[in-house]
Parts: sequence; C-alpha cells; structure tokens
Amino acid sequence: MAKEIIIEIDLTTGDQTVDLNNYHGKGCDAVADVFGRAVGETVKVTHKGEYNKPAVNTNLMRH
Amino acid sequence: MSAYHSQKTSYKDRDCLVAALKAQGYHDVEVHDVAQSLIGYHADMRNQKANVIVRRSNVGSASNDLGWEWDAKAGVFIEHISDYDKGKHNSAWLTGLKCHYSEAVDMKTAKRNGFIFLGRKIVNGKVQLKFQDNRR
Repeated sequence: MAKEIIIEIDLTTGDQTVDLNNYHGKGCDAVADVFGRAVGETVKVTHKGEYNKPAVNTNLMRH
Repeated sequence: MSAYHSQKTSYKDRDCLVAALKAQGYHDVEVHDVAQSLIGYHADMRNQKANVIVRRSNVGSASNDLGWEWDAKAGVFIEHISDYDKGKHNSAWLTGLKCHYSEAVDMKTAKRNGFIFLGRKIVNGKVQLKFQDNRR
C-alpha cells in the first residue's frame, strides 16, 4: 500500500492536521515532524492502529 | 492509518510569507535582509521596523505600512499592524494569511522531500492537500 500524507488546513483557524496512512513506527513521526517544524509546531499526536505493526517488505522476491 | 498530528502555525519562512501576502491581494511586497522603518499615514517614521513590508500606498490612503519583523532569537516573524489597520486586517484576514502561508509551506516542504502532489480540494471548511510518499 502506498504511503499517503493528507494535510488539512482549517480555514477558521489557519492551523493544520497531518494524517499519515500506511506508515509504520518512527518513520511516521519523522514525516509528520518535517511538516510540523516547517509550519510551526506539533501540538498533538494520535497514533493509529498501524503505528505499531511491522512494515511489510515489498521488495522480497518470491520463488 | 498510522498517525494524526495537529500542528500550530507560526511565520518562519520569508518566501512563503510573501507568497501568502500576495495570495491575500498584496502583490507589491518589499523584502529586506536588514529591517527597515515602517512609515505611518502622516509619512512619519514609526518606531517599528520590518523585513517584509507592504507599504501604505498599497493598503489605503489613511493606512500605515504593514510589516513583519524577523525575530532571530525566536526564529519567527512578528507582525506590526497598527490599530487603525486592524479594522481591515482583522482576525479573519490574519487567519486567511495563515492559511495561505501554511499551504505555501506545505507545498515547499513536500517538494523538498520528494513527496508527490496528488491534489488539492476544499472539504468541510478545510483545505485538503494530498501527497504520496514513494521513498523507501
């Protein structure tokens, strides 16, 4: 599954949320931090189900 | 789904601030490495200085300059808008500026990191930007 970043900027406050799909573990936080540092600061983080699941290696060759 | 991050915006990127001001209708924006004095509606020099300036001639006949001064210690731009000009540049206007700024920063950040832009739309009063991350 492709990793997807969805950013929503609230037109009533100007603040934003970053929703990350199909990321696993620390790679997820690293991507969010890139946007957080650029735009200001991250004030709340909610990890979802996949966060603690191991990443699936799509480069494995099957025989 | 893996995480949901809420982020607060502050002005750190000069180019994106200028882009946001242009998106808000000010196409003539001055940019200075060294902060310059702001000028009041009597053509008087104000105490405030700024690095990003919209001159009063572009704002209105009775207006003062609008300015954003770089605070190197805090790493952010501080806005200087007179009480008179806050009538037009009220919280709704400032929120619009912030939205345009955030969008410009996100697009710049995504490009720098190699994320692929998939699209932009308005959903439930929010600007939604979608990117794909093909990095391994």
